Amino acid sequence: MDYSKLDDVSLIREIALARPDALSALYDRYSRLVFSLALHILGEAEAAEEVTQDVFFRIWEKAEIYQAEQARVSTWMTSITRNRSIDLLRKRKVRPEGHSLGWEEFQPDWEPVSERSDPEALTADAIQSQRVRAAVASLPVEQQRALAMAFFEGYSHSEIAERLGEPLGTIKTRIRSGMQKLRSLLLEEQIHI
Amino acid sequence: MENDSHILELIPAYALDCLERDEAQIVAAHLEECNECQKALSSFLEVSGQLAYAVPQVDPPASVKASLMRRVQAGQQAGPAALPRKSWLEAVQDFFAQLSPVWVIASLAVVGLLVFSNLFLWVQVRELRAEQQTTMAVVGLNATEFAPGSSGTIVISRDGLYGTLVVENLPILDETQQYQLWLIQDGQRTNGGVFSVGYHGYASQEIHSEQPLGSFTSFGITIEPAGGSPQPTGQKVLGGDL
Repeated sequence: MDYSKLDDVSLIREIALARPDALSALYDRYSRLVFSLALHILGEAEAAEEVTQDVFFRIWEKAEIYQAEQARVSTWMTSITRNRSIDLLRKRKVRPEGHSLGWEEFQPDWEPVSERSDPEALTADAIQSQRVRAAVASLPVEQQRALAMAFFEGYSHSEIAERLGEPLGTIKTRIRSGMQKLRSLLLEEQIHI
Repeated sequence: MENDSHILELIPAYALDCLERDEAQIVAAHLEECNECQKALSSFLEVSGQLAYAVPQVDPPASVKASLMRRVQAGQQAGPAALPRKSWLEAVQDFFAQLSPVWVIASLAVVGLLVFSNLFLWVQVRELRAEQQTTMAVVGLNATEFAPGSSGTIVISRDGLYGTLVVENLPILDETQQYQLWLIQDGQRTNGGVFSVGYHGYASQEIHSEQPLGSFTSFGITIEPAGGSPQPTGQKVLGGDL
């Protein structure tokens, strides 16, 4: 069977039947996304590699618990990646020197060269990245900052308010407004495609 | 309703896991019974998932995949329980393909006998269960590799409507995380409540469920962000079957 042709949910079902080739295909499809997120949060390639392997091994062991009606496979995977990375970040308590956890350094059309051989998938990923970056860049800077602290660093409303020296209500509004605007930009745009 | 609109305002932050613990618990309880908020949560989780694409995309080294696949293969070779999980139809086909016709007939006779005896035992078990419903059910929770030495027990009332969870020797989590109980039926996981453990890793709490607890087949406990998650995302520390 050519697992690379299967959709995400079918791949997860095959993984639940302990087909290593299905896991291999899922890895080829999403390892870049998982590794990139872990690397950005942790700032260290070695730690990001460890998280990447753990995330896919967890999927190998727990594929049967995935519930397609609750979230897409990519959403489930990024959620696991983010939780694992932030856990590791907290355990270390020290971040690599000069490591930034914001959106600022992302230029909308910047994309590193990949060694991956599937140009179609690469193009789709690049378009998706540009859409998300453009959507984030359209938010007020204060909202971007609050969202980055929640998403990349796992801070709560009150922790963000304390670190930024802003009222709690202001931070709650920034997070809520930012997410609502992103939903409007990303999901409604998707529907029109 | 005013309460619903208030909760709806908290959903974006819940999807980002940035609510305070008490607020997250309120949202998690509300989500159990509100379809509108569940739909809103799905859409905001989707947004949260897409944010991962905003970071510079970099390929991991090839060695990561090689290590992963070695780990998978090692797990499969570790023992019969870890062998590839073939579908039952494939397993039956493989089995009969290896046998001569005489053995096929003999095997079918044995299988038939086993089916009959299993049916007989099943009827007996049902009768015994009906008798046992006059007492409380006790479910032992066994530790996984992520919480060695820990254990748990769920006691379910005779009518199956109420339950109490007791755990001991679970690792103490920092304030950003809590344990979450999952009630499992037909692969569906329902939130059974979140809790933290005290200094000695001990906790006990009542289990609330709209569905009788006796109707669930399994129970599991995972580590989740404070306030809980709509579905399991963290490591499983305890599990057991009813």
